[in-house]
Amino acid sequence: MPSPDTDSALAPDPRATAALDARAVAAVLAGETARFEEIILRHQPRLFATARRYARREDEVADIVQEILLKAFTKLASWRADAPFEHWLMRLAVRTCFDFLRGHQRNREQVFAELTHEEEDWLERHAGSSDAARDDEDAARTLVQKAFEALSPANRLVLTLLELEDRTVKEISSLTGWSVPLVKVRAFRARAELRKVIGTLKQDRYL
Amino acid sequence: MNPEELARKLLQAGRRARPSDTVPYAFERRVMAAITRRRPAADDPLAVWAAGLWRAAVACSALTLVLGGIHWLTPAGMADSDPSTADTPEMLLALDDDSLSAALLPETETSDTW
Repeated sequence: MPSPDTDSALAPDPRATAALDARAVAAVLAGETARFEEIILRHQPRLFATARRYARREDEVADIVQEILLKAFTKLASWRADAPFEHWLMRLAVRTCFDFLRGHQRNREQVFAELTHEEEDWLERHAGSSDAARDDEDAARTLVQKAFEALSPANRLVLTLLELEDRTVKEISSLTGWSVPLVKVRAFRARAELRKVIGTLKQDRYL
Repeated sequence: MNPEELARKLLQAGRRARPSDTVPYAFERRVMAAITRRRPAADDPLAVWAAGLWRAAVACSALTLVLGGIHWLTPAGMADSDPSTADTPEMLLALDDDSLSAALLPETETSDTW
């Protein structure tokens, strides 16, 4: 049977969520460690969605989210209530994901050597015609992920936030701690690197 | 189609395909268990003190090993040849006056030959 706390944890209103977060954080800081579970329940779906942008394997995703939440617990006292808790948590999430990308750089030249049938079909269809068909989104998603895996960690992070999550340069600056001009420069370089990665596809077949 | 156009289409597809926000069963319990495992070391003053002692023990052992190694590798004769340990008064008395003056006052000798 769900507890009253669990029910309140599912409140969708941002103001109500912010108030609940503030109360829960105060309780945890006062020594009620168990109240942190309420915070986890409220924010874990968004953290999982964020982590899935940067890691493919589910065990890696779970490890990233756990790391974010452990950092949040350790640094809880550094949260200032003048900004929503969720923003603070997302900043922590983005930085943890960036650390993960830097620590798990796979062989970036190998990504397109292992395309599935569906991914090859998607590429053939879209490279051959100019209309953007909406079919087979799974193949498209994994293809995007593979293309992004070929980018450097900083370029991947900035393109994910800018192009896939539709965030503004200012938001990215706040999330990453980079200056606005640096975000712009990195976005420019990231787009160039993505074009280069796509250019290295088997040109005789797709381009 | 050029790579730019394909990149644009890939990004469009990526924007449409939002990642799932499903959470593994009882994930919050896993995190709470990890927090509980970490907490005692941070809160208990005795645990902090013990951790400090262990670190100090490791540092002291390392220092002991280094000093032992230096002592072990130093040749046995080098300790005797150390000038600070030589019997200086006896050595000076053993020297005769001429050699002493030649060693200490070389300019006197040059004036003689001149």
